Amino acid sequence: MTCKEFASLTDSYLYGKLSEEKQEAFELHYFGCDGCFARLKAAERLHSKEVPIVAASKTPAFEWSELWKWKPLLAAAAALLVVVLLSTFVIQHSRHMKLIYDISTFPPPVYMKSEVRAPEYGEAFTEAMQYYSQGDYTRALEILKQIPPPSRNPQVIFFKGVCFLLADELKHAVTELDIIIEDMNASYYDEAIYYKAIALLRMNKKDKALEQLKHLAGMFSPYAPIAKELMEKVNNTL
Amino acid sequence: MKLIDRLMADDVKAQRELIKKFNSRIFMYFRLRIKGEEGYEDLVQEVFTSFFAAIKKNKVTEDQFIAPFIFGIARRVMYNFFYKKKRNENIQKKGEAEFEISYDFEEDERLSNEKMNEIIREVIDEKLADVDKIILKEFYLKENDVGEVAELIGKSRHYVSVRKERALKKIKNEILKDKDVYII
Repeated sequence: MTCKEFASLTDSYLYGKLSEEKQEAFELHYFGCDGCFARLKAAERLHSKEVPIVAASKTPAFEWSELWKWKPLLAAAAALLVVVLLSTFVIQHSRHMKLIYDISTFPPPVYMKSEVRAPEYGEAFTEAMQYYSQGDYTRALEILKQIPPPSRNPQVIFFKGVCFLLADELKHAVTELDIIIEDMNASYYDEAIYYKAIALLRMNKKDKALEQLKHLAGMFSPYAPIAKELMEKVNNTL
Repeated sequence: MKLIDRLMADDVKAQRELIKKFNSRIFMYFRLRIKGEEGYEDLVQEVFTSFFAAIKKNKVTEDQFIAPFIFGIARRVMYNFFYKKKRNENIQKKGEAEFEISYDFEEDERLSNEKMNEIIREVIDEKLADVDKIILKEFYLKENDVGEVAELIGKSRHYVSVRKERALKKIKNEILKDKDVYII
């Protein structure tokens, strides 16, 4: 007989309700088990009615341990709360991001074949820019990606960066546009800062975006007025 | 040194230890088994005298067999009691045993019970919540069953059983701490 079985049979033993076989097993157990005998003795003493028990009232006070009984319900409530909080967070976050995208809407920079700012980069670039001009930025990006990386051609890099931005591949957009900025390329420098600021804004990096826009707004550049405008929108809205 | 070796060497302290440990168990056994019959107290001494005699004859050689051996003797003594009673024979009187023990088993049991009542009272007063007291009172003093107690306090049967078990466990732990009552 185990101690657990013993405990469950204690009252039946004291009331003489056990079968002969169980009673013998019970008795053999308490002869050899100190803990169980102490427990039996406690029950027997209480049963003897020699110990007065004074209880304050018949309405038990609240017990914290009772909460254990509600464990499954509490767990469900906690899960529900987490779901509600998460949903609220997700909804608020998506509203916030929609706002960011709304205020940072931009017309894609126009590609002009005749422009003189940089030489064209082979047939691949020409094909990519055809798609770009048609508004198919995804296909344009696919082709631009295939142009070998050693190329430091600012035109290729800039439009690759813009295509990444339009395809919402923001980290890549920042990486490409940073190359233009680091090279201080006069043809695309201002534009690169502007589009990098938009990429940072959409990455929810408001402070870094504002830093870029502030820098651009202070420059003597055709992009300074739109940088200021965007800064105001960001500060007023977000 | 093993208890059994000390007993075989007639160590009086070891004998007292053994009696103190098993006296209450044997009393409990007879009290429950020979309910309503007179004279069962003498049987406790008979168990111990038989045990010490058996020790002298090397019938028990390991500590772990002491408890089941004593239980076996108590069971045999109980059956003999009923057998002799049925045949109207005189039950063996004190002093007729082949092994004399000078010990007041009944007094020891009385003191042990008194001390234990005191411990239980203390635990009930100081360590139990009101709800536990109500459960113990309704169950042990008023002899309501678990279902009736549950209905009375407006809780489930499971709640009552668990709280009763926890209360008993607290009392048990205090009893085990007290060496005057009990020797482990």
